[in-house]
Amino acid sequence: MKALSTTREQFELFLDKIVGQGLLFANVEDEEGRVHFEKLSADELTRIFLGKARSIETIKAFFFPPRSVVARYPEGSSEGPSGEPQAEQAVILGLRACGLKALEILDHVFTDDVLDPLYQSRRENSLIITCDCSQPWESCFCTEVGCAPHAESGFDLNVSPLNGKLLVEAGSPKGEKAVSEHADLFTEAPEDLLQRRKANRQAVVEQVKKINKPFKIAPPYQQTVQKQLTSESWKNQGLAYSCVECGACTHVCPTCRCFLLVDHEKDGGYERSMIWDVCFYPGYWRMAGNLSPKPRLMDRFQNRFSCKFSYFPDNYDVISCTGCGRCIEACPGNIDIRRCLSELRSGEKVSR
Amino acid sequence: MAENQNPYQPTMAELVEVIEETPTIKTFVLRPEPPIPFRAGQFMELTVPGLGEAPFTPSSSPHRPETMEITILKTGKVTDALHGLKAGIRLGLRGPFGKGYPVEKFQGKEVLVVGGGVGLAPLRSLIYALIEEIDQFKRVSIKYGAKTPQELCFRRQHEEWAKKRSVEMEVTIDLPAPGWDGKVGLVTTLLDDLDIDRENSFVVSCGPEIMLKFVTLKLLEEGFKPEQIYLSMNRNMSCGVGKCGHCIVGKYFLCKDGPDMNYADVMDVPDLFG
Repeated sequence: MKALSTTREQFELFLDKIVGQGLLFANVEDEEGRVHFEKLSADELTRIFLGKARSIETIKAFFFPPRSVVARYPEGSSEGPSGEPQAEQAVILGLRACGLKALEILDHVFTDDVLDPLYQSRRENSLIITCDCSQPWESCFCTEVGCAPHAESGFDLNVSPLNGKLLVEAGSPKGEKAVSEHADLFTEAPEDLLQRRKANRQAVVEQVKKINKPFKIAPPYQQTVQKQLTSESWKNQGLAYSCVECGACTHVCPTCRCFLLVDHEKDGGYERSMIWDVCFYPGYWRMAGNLSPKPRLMDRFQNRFSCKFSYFPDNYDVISCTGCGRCIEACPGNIDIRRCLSELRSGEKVSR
Repeated sequence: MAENQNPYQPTMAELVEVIEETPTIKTFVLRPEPPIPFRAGQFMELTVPGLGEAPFTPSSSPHRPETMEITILKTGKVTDALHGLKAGIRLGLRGPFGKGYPVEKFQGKEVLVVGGGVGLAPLRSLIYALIEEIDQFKRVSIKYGAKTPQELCFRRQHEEWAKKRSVEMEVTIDLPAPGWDGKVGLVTTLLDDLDIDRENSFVVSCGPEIMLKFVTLKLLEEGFKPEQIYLSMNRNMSCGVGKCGHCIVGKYFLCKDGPDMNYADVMDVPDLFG
């Protein structure tokens, strides 16, 4: 399908039609210029913001909620988790390329091999509309980890805001169907708009690269992390020196997916919930008899790096970091994943 | 597990008998309906309703799936609750998970089974499986150690196994104890100058991680190659299907790639034994 052009007003009409009775999650901007993901109602479409870059919140919490009921027993209930899982229809608008890549990474975890039916249902019932970044944050480093500030595939639809116009591209049969059913709201995109998109995208790529030049990081990260497993950098006064084990980085991370199953009584039966867990927590590793394979913080800290840059490539052929930089902003200890990678790569302590 | 089935959903099984093995170890006999087929070494997630799950490897024979026996040391939240239970109630089961012991690979070879404490529980399932087809193996040697005579698991079966054709059984306790006239010393002392063909054998070990470490070092010193050694590794598996992250050891998820790992695959993992 050819790229299409539309206006903001027409696009809102389009959204109104495709969201229907379903859910809409979209980016909005707050007074201080920060971008958020919010659940919007049909009369809030004017609040939608398509500028800047990725939101503070990740959409992970929709597909893999912080807490969700995944089973009931002794008897599985007729609907919900143990019956036939059915997620609500949802439109996700404003996901950036890094967020889309994160979903592709989570897909490996939740749908490869053994299928997580609830996750699968949420994925199948959502329409993903990605949006090009136009102004990266200082913490953005997508270009350094094989991602980009714009998506080229994997979305249902992609929107590129260009001087008052919106260039819309379909990337899946589902996306094509959505726009072709409302063809009156779009026109074929003229060549000059496509050229402008190309130039804009290149400019944003350059901006992200410029932001990250001082860090001097570069692939292959798997080798960097593996080679440095016994490095002094990991020791307590090293990379983890200011880590307070709060779990902020893993909670804001769009790809961290550790969880724990916990049970409790409910309505005369029992419910099993899946809750987010954090590999920095000592309790995460606790085994029978209070033993732990990772009693030291440095080992747990290292696990997150090994998981993302070594185990994921081994198991799924992809590094589990999209360069969104949320962990950098969230860390109360001012730990910057780029500085960590840089120090591991060079073997030299990087000033903080 | 069938496609589209909820991997987190337990099925209920009646607890038909509780057998006291030692003051701190009990065997729970469950009758899942329908029976759950499993391979020796695969593990189950056992649910105490409302309290939660914990991973255990059955100690019963994979050739007798009508009842599943799980032998458990009282050592934490779920196991404390389990030890207070009486026959008649229903518990939840999920599984089996993991690969189990590669019994087919042991055919025509000598199998050395090294256990410590309650670590003999998963190994008992393997021992049953080996004895069931004993003609397939050259010999099965069982080396077992516990801290005290009271803590020896499945004592009544030791003699039974020792009497079987092509099976040898040796037991030791850590320190001398009144009334004990058997061997004394750590289980590694049973591995001195083994009369086993180094080229035609496999070793399987299960026990506390500290024991696994010293057993492995001893076996390497005795001339076994890493490829010949299988270790039943422990982590607190939660999901059982390679998603939750808790059982990661190097790039492996013990719940689906183990829990019985070939030492050659994991020998380069830093701090393997904690």
